[in-house]
Amino acid sequence: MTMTETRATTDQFLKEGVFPTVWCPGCGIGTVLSSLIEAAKSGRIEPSRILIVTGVGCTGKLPDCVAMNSMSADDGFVLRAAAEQKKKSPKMRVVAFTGNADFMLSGGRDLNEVAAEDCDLLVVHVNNLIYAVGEDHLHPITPFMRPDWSGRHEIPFNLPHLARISGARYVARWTPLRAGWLKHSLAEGWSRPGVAFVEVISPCLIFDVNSGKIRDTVERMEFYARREDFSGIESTKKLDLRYPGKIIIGKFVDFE
Amino acid sequence: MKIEIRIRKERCKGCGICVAVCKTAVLEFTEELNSAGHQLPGIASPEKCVNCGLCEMLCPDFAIRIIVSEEKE
Repeated sequence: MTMTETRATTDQFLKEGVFPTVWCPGCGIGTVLSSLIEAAKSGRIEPSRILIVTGVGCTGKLPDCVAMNSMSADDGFVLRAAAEQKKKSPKMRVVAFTGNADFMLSGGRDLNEVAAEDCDLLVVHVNNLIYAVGEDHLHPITPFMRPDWSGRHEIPFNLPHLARISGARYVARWTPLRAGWLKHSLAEGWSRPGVAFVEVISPCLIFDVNSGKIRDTVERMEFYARREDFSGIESTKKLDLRYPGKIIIGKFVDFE
Repeated sequence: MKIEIRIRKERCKGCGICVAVCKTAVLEFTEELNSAGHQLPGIASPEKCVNCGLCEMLCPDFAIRIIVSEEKE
């Protein structure tokens, strides 16, 4: 297969006539979708064999533009719906594409249940560091650098550690700037049995993150490049976004 | 090997990721606007392209395609 043939098939994964997409200019969700399609192409997975389950919010807009099988679940039932779909059609490659509200805020318990059932599932969590409905309120993944309306801080959830102790077989965290590694990680997680959990740190451009310093895409990429940390990680215990100075990225758990 | 960069102008939102990640400065912003009023990137120096694929992969709107074709001699 020549390179021309492999690259030409991206359009088979996308609907015609819906572009431009609904996301803001430079939003990381589009890059994550691009990486997912590249991973599917590298694994020779056809679009008709993929099922994408999304929830509410910006990540829930994903079924608008993909030509793969896709559905929007209720708020908080994304992983549950994905697991049920996987049981009903075992040959389908199921991707649960979650955001902050539907995964952690109202569907937080589902990860343990789904991982305990040992469903073959790829969970892509786009962490945009915000819960946009209650912008000034704390939610489970509000980073420590960002106080609520009364100036209070709270220690955020450590999602890679939560996934690991829940029993996920593959845990990784990337930023959209590292789209190539994100693609390899998604392809690897797809090939593993059990639940694979990939977190993507992709700060929202509209609502203020880190005191409103991020206003355009190039600034956001500088934000990644300043804070990314590849130093060797032994344990997942210190992976929360408590420290404003760095975002530790990499592959943390991989049971083959 | 011939490298061709295609930009779908109606998909572009002018976010500037492709211009920022291009290490060899192939892509640059132009004065041209598309129908939604976004400033479009243009191909300033196509001979410098090394086919790293970063602009294609990082573009959130699938607006850039790199097409590599083997030249027959």
